[in-house]
Amino acid sequence: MRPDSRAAVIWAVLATGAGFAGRAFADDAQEWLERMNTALMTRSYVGDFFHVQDGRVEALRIIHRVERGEVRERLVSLDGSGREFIRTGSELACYLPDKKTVLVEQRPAGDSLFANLPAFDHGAAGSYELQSHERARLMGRDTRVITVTPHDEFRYGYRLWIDESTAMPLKTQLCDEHGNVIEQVVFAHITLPERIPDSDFLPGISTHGFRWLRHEPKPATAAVPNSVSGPVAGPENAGTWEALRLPPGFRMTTRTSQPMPGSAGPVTHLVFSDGIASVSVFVESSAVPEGASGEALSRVGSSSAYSTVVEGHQVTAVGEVPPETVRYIASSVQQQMPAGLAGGPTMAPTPIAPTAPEPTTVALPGAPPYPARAGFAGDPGSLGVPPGQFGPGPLSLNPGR
Amino acid sequence: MSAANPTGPLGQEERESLLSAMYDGEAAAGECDLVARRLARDPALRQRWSRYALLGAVVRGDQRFLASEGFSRRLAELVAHEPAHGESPTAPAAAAAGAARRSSLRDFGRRWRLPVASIGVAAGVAAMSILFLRAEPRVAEVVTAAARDPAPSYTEPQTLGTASGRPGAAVVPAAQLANYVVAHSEYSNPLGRRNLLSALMAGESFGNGAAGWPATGPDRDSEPTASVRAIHTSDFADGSALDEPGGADDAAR
Repeated sequence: MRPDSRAAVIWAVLATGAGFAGRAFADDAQEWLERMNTALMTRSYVGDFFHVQDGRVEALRIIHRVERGEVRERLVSLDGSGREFIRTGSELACYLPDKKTVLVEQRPAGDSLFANLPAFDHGAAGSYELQSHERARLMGRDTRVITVTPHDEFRYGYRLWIDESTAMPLKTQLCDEHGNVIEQVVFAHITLPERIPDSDFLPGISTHGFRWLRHEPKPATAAVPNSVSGPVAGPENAGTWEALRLPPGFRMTTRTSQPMPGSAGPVTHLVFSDGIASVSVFVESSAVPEGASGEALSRVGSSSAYSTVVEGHQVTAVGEVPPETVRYIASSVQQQMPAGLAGGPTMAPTPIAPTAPEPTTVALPGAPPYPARAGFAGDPGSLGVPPGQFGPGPLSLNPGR
Repeated sequence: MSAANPTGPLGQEERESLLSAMYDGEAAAGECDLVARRLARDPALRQRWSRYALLGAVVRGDQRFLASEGFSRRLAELVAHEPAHGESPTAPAAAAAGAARRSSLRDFGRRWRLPVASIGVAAGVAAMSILFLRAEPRVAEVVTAAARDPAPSYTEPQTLGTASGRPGAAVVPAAQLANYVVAHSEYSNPLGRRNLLSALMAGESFGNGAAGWPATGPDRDSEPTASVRAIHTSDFADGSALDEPGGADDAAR
């Protein structure tokens, strides 16, 4: 069906009643968002775009390939820093020519980008209003304009121009709750090639003389390449880190413990999502000088980061949300000491975990084994927790095993 | 199938909206200048976005267009002093870099209207950015004063910090924060992820100097603990920040 005729059908349907039309708008928006997400994740594409944020304009190219279930992606700065991000499967390498450094971030084995997708799922319905607007022409293409408007100040919204024939977002804006644009991406062109050669995923710069910094999940017996030389602290297994309260609509979707470049021991990583926005909380014990306290807020792009000290641990929340949200979440994170520590925290059956790959055991020399992560790949809508009632519950994972 | 419906020159509709947007903007916004500079300085970038009809309009001397001053004038000015290239628009950037320098705006415009085989959604490119940048309010209200500071500190206790004990002791080193952001990006939705990585690409969030990461161990004392320069507004004032490292064009492919 041609887009034109499809649109005609939609409009005919909408004409039948205002109340119904409102509902149809929302459904239509939901459908477009899902279609867009699917396109972004599963299609192979090459595109150049401008990333615009607070007066900075960066020209970038993205090359994204999905082949036999493996995602390869390369994000290249076309000017300025010359930096690149290259993802191959679960590995993300950051090439930083200005620092003569390559940073390698490794997702836990078995983890998949697809599984982590918070998506524009139904869980978001309570926190955002989705609207489909009239078709708009964007430089010669028919696009569907979709707005995602937050109900409160804890999250940002989106305005999206989605290409009708490919579902690729040609232009996206991140907006605050007043609708002010705080970040945008505008594509100059996109192609969806049948094949993208491997050679397109090689860095465009010579890495001769670069330092490679990587922290990979390794079995306890394996040598950890010159990245951890000091004592490895790992008291996180003494209890489970939880957010005692969360902004409305947020719920925990992932818990993992993993080594990270630049961190001495495994870092506890919690992920919270409202169905659209996500916030990560990182807990490190070794990072804090004894007796330290204090708090700090920062921004990276339109994302916010907030760091504080809780019980001698450094707790940092990062997310594409307003500053208040990361502060709120980081401040509510506590270490829960379950009564029966030997047996681990009591844990209700996790409804979704069985479908996820078995958590990989990650350990560093001298450290007890850690579960790599517990993923929740199923319908997150079923995990909804009423605001204010979040706590150790169905999502708890026994870190001690 | 292909998304490739190479669009021709801007249709009347797009053109009108573009023009009206340019009229709407009183003076050229700083962002327009940034884009113009970037396009002017980077032949490869221009080449990739050669269907940029706005340039055509500039070059052809569209009076209505030029009447809006600002961007178009600035761009013409910049382009006049930049090397153009005689290669076909699909030639590799490397070849383009060595191409003959030209200053004729008219010739330049003619080349810009050449078809480009590989362009799919042949959008209007920078024109779009400029258009939307001008049509929308600048972003800034959510950006704190500290963030606008030329050398913002990571610590910002005056608004949110209720620092106690030793304020700033919990400050995360810049490189570590960047690591967190990278790790977090893996759990963001595709748009959020792209935004995050793009922001990292553009900023200096990986910390200052090469000491961002310890090569052999977590020697935190050697890490910079300040200046996460996440947001810049003034880097382009004198064009200095536009100086491209040697590999920029190579990196483009």
